[in-house]
Amino acid sequence: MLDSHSERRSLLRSVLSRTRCSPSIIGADLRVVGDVESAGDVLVDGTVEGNINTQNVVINEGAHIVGSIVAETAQISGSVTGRVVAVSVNLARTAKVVGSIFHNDLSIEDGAVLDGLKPWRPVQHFSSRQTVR
Amino acid sequence: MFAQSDKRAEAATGQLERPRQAAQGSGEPSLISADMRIVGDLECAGEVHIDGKVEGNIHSATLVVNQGALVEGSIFADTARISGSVNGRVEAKSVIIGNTAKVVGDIIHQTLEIDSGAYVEGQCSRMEAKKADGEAKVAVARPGAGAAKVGAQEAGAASAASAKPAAS
Repeated sequence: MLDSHSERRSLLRSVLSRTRCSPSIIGADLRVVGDVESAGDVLVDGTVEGNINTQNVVINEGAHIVGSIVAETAQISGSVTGRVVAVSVNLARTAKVVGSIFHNDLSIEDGAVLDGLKPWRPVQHFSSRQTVR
Repeated sequence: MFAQSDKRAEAATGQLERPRQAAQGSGEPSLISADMRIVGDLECAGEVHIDGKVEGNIHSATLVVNQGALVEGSIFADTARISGSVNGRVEAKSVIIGNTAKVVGDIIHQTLEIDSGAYVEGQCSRMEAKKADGEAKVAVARPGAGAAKVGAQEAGAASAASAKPAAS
């Protein structure tokens, strides 16, 4: 159990940007009712009823976000009900997004469900986020 | 295995709501990294490790607050291992407070361990203390005598308390 956990974490590090801290993980059995702010990477398997403001976010299959997501990169395989604002957005096959996706770079895999607008914005639009105090 | 721990968590805290949408858990602990800040409540059926900042209440089966972490709010858990800063009440069956911890708030526990050097400010009371009419009363571990002495609610609590060690 412990081995697979550290394996998953090292895989994350190779996928996501290298930050000072290890990525935060909101596990499948965790439900957050409130806002999540991070200066680094967030991996969501569970439920977040609130907004997410982070640098990189990966929303795995089975995760539920009810709220907006503001990030630099967003990799979505789960369910998002709210607006997504990110420079680079990828919707995987199992993604379901109900809300608009403000993006500079958007890719949608076959099978993803999107109910919302896809407004393109220049990179300058995504102003520097409020960092974690 | 996880269904059992949920039941124990519910029985222990009495206030732990079973997370409605949460799965039974992958067995891997959730991690709130040092660069993360959560303004809101956490509900977990499994294990949560906190290195960052949580402004809100935490309900979890197992909770680890690492050094440098800050929790502003109450903690309801089965097992709480605290090496960071907690401003709020801690209610857990097993409370372990490390020497880098700073806990400002009451500690409700069944077993308690405080390392030398820890900063603890608050009242430490045992979990069997059942609040009746707002007053904490230590339950007598003799269900027969207890039923005659106290009201029906207390007797129910006393028999539940004596049944708990047998079950766990």
